[in-house]
Amino acid sequence: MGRKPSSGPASDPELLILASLADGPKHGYAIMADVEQSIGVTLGPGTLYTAITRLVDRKLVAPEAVSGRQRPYRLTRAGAEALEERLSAMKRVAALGLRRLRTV
Amino acid sequence: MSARRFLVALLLRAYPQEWRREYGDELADILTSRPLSVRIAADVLAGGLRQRGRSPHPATILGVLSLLVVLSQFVLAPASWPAVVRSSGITFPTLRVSFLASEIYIYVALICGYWTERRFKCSLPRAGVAAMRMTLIAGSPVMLAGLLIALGVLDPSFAEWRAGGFVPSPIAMMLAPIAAAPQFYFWGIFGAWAKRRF
Repeated sequence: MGRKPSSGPASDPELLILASLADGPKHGYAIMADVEQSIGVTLGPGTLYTAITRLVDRKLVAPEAVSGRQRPYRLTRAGAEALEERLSAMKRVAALGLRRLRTV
Repeated sequence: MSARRFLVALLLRAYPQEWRREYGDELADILTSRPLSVRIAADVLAGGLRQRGRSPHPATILGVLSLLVVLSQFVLAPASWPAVVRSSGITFPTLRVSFLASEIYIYVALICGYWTERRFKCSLPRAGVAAMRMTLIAGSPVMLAGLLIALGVLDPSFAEWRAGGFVPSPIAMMLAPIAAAPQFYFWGIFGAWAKRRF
């Protein structure tokens, strides 16, 4: 089980949550499990809900109707745009860095 | 209630009430459905403190501002400034914190009640409790000084000029803000009532 890294894109809980929600709505526990399985990063419940609160406040993520005691969250249109923008920027930085490393 | 549920409920108390209303059940569900380690407990506590920092309660904001007024009188002000604490002239409490006994602080308590009701649409007693909490925050420098004098850490003469020339009892210093708090319960309620009425 990986722990949250202290630096790099995987250290950003908001980015991890947005990426996790990209394929459909999930509740908090499912987001934690998905991030842990897919990326190998363990988000603490406090960290997870701090990030979810911020994302909901910024309208990047929206809660859906409650199912049981858990409430699913979905990516909003603004959230999808923000995620795509950030991932594209990261892709450009990664491509530039790798290209230049190969020429050294 | 099992020990685990009690611990989860305790951890959730680290979060502001309005946050708990929105997300508390979900977080509690996660915490009760997986092993609760020290690392997870620390993570939840840190999350609670971050939430409290993001949206401080009106009582906390006004309490800290009032605390700064009391503290500035206590620590920075020259001896010629008005006394921080003064004799109440009654049996209990024997001391009053001057700022908390001033007219302006009544307005602060009214604002606290008004603001609390405006923000949380809460019950009137909750606005009253907020004003009491603000008073305890505001009076905490006096309580702390009393405690330090009682423990022998601080020289009693430290409080002498701050009390207008007499040496106040450290116990009276610790009790003064607590004894002052109940009256502000009613001012807080009045402020919340004014918000509903006007």
